[in-house]
Amino acid sequence: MYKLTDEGKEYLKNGLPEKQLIKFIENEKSLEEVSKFPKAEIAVGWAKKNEWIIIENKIVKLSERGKDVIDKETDLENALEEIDKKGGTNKELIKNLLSRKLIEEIKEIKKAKKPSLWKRLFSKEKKAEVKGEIAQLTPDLIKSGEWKNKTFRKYDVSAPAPRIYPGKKQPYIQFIEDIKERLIGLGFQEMKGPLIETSFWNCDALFIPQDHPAKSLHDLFYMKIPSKGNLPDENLIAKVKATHEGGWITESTGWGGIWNREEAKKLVLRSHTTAVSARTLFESKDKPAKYFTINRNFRPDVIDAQHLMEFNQCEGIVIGKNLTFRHLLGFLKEIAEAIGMKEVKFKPGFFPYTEPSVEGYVKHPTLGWIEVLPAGMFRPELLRPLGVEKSQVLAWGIGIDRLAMAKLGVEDIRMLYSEDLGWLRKVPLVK
Amino acid sequence: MVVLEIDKNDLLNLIGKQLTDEKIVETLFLIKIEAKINENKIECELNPDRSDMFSVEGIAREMKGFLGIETGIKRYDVTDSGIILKKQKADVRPYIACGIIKDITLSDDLVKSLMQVQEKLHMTIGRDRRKVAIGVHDFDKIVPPLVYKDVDDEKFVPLGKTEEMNIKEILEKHPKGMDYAHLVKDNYPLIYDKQGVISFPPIINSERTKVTENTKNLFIDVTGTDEKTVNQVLNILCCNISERCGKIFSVKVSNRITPQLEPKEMSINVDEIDSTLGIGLNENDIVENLEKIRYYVKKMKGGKIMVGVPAYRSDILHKIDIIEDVAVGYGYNKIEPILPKVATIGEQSELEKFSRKIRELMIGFGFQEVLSFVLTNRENNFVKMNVEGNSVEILNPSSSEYNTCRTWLLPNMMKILSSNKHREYPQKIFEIGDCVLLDENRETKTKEIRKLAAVISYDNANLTEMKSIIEAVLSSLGYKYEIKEYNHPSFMESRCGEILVKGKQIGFFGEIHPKILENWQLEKPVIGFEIKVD
Repeated sequence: MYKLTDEGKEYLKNGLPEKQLIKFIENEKSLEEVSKFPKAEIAVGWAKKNEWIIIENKIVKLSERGKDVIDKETDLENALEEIDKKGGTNKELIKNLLSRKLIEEIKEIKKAKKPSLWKRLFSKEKKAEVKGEIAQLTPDLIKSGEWKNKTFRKYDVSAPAPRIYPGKKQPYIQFIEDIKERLIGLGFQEMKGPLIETSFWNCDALFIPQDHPAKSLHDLFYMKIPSKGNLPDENLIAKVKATHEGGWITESTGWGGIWNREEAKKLVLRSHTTAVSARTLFESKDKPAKYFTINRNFRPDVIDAQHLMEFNQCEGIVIGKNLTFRHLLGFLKEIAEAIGMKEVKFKPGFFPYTEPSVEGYVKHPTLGWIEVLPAGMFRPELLRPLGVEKSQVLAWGIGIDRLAMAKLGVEDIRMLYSEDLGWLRKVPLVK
Repeated sequence: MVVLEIDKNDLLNLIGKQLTDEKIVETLFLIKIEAKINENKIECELNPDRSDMFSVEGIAREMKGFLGIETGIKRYDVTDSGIILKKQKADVRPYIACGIIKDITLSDDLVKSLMQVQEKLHMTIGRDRRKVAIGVHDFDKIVPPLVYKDVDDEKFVPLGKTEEMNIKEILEKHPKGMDYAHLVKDNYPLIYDKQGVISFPPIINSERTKVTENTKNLFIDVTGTDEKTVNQVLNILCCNISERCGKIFSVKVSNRITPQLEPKEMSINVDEIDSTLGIGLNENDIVENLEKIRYYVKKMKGGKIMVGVPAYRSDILHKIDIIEDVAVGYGYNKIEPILPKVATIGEQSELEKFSRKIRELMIGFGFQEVLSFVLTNRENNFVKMNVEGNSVEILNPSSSEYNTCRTWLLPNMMKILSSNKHREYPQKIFEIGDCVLLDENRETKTKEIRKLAAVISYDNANLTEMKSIIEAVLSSLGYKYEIKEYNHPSFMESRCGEILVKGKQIGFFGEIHPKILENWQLEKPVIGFEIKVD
């Protein structure tokens, strides 16, 4: 259903401006005279488009077609009448009238009211309607100084303006960038590692036993193509093998059994960013440093409101002599603050590659105590084979999806990768 | 995570002291257990390392230590039962250990706890019975001597049945047989007494020796593929049951006596403990804290201590594990966090820095950033884009929607456009993300490429508009580039170009082919580009 706008109603009564214009021209008029016609801007435009007038040497003449329609009701005028009575007419004409803002769709009353207000303010049709008032300051008016003689229409600042959307960073990316900034501020250097990893770097180098449940098909994505990668240098392999089997020089009992190199070659989708830490340690050895990465990991979950098969971790390691467990807690507290959580509590935890291990909980304003800071000191069985001989390494791998959800105020984890442009456009910047 | 349900009254009886719910939860938290109390039920979430706490008796023992009710090591006396088990050829599950607990009171609490601890041990260190399997019998129904050997067939009445079944029938028809048939093949390990089969590990016990309400003495068999773990599991069972009731008796398994519950000793430098923890503990503090976690400690010469590790602790591989227990005994809640002085300079990786700059440029051009999954499927990545190509393949995808990694970003841009047809146009979106390509020469046989893709879609979307943006991006990045005509099956012929830097293609752009718009059910023109950023 459609109804006439105020303009539409006026034109139904007095005729369309272009129709009034050709009546005014009769045969021919100078351009100067025509320009004084009340709705000249609109009228001339449409008359020209309809090929009712010809403008030559500053003279406006009626064309044959113009002369033809001068005394007839045009289709558009009929359409206005029909809509006024029945609320509809043929589609083409509706499109035309809608584009000229002479009619509007009747939706909910609330919605229909507001646009009509701004249409009244911004519509070209309306522009020349109020005599002597000007809506827009133009370069001509400024240059000629004529603005001094004009009255400018009051701008209704309370009237709604059309909505536009800025280009924006994706909200989760904004969140990640903010954390990165804090970590860089704390002296952390960003490290990188591949998404597809050998089991060697994802598990074996971390002293995860080869028969560990975390390596089952339910917990780790294995690759079919390509299925196996290359192992790094043999020297490292020999140390890792010896450590798994009997502890090597680390004073550990090891896991026992036989360590299988073929198992270590299997390619997987990285299941934790700790794999990146292992690679980094192998490069940096005992050099004092702080590293971080915030990156994607994978696990064979089925997607629903709480689970995705891709998740982000914020991994950090601190390498140095004389580092202690207390220092680790210090960093965890600092990181909690970096993500806006002041209160922290610590529970002893377990991870195959850290000892002592800790699970840090933060007090979230709405979610209460949540466990987000799994951390520990890397075990000697991990460090020695990688060539870290004299240092302690503090490490953590924070699952940041949940924190991001809390920050963005979303309850469905899928929203972190939302495809909904409506939401992406409207969601406020992350504080 | 291991989830255990225990009875609050049972726990408090075992501890021998009344505690408030709050105190219980707080204490459990500090000894690695996250607990929720609902009336008389305590739901415990445990890490998989402390298998000795997979039963209420083990938890009570630990709590008594932590609360100072009973500290130091718990000694478990083992008496020789005179029972012999002879191991013959047993290659399927080469290791076996047995123990006997006499004079038990088979209360509901014990039955419940025994079933729960078996299940949890099977699932965790037992690796779902593959590595370790447990059988519990009524000792008085066993007629010694015992024999353990592999056979190729046998008949006996399995637990829960009244008729004899042969091995094949058990594996095909008995519920446990069906569950665990994959663990045995061709040869089957069996434990016999004088009257026949008592156990078919890791599948099922015999009906004849089953535990009933009248059982007074328990016989436990543990079999498996790893000797150390087999012994540990037997130790945990014997120690934990005897926390509640009964006396432990040993069995002679070939030439070895099991269980062996003597603590293992480990020597540690006192200095090393506090230099790891940084709490400021002296030797006496360390001894006190270790005793709370049920170790015994002997002070030695030369700044060392000798620590006795209880036989039920399967998680102590290294002295660092004992050092952690010093901190646990001290209480994680009492450790004051402190920041070290490690002076380092923070820095973003070059790739991320570069990506960030590009991101800011694209935003400047009014594009909305999107984020999508690395995982996708071949239909979206290739077929719908009318291209052919190779990509990685996941062996165990959790859904056929996500069985490979994306090789480029434009398909996801198209996917997003197609789910936003009801949203206002123009639509301008971009993504910066990693794509995965096969590469035989690399360690991981794959390489990741960071890419940027962007699309514009609306009634009048046109190539000139996009070309202006591409050129603005490239020149802002300081690239000297060339643009040449190009053919790409995703784009309309002669409405596509490639972007070259130093003669090498870094990307392409063009007007998406209407056929592809149809594939994605899009009705408005789409102009897109994709370039490598590294």
